[in-house]
Amino acid sequence: MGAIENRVYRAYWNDGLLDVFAAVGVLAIGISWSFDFIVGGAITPALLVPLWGPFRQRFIEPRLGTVEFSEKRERTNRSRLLLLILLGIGAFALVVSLYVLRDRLALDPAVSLIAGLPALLLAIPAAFTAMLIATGRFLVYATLLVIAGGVGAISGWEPGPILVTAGIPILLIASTVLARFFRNNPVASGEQE
Amino acid sequence: MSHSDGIELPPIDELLHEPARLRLLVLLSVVKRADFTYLLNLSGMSKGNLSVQINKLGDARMVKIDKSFQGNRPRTMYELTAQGRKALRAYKKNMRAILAALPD
Repeated sequence: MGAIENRVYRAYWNDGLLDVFAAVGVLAIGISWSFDFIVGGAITPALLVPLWGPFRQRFIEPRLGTVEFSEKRERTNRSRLLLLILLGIGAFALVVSLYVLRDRLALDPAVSLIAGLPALLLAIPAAFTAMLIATGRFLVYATLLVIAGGVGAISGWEPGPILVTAGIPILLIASTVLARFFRNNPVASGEQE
Repeated sequence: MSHSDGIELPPIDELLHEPARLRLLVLLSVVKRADFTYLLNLSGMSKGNLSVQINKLGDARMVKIDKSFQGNRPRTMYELTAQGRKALRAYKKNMRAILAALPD
């Protein structure tokens, strides 16, 4: 796909709504894990995904407008999204397995690092999203998750607080991007034809 | 030397050879279709200018105009036609030939 198409596609994701969804997801998983509600990690995406379309339609499209991308772009996105979902499911299953079995694991150093795994594994889909929508912001989020995961695990934190620690700066960045988009793009007052 | 032996250059489509219309056609050539607000944001044009230029492209059947309602709001979707895509391709080819003939 050409340079102009890539720029147009990247502009489509510059509103910050996806960033806010990602931040809320990380925070919700972190909070649910803090209360030992591990299933929250699976429930959170299941709750957020159906909200994406209506939120975009209600808050973004009146400001940015509506666009449908080419069949080729849609096909590429579908296959990448499928890969992302499989990656997410795999990462989640691995984390839950390790977390549940952590007491049975013989290696002490491994046990201490397991707490950082959820954040480290969430960094993978974040980096993948950066590639999918061609925006560097998600690489920053992935880096924040990696740092929080590493530092938190070494410091002996639990997975929940580590994710909350990573989620707060992500939410701050995401809210800033969304607020800037709202400020620069008022709701269109109608078409003039 | 007769002036009637003018240098023949490839033809330039004057409808496309206007920055605003060319910008709209290029934008529409990279997406399947887009609405008025989206084109307004991406082109950086004023509402009035966008309206005039897109309708000229519509009149020339280079852009398909599809009017509908989304809830209470009118929504007009624009899509590059096969004719528009062909014209854009010819314009690119001809401009390239003209520019290639220019001395450095």
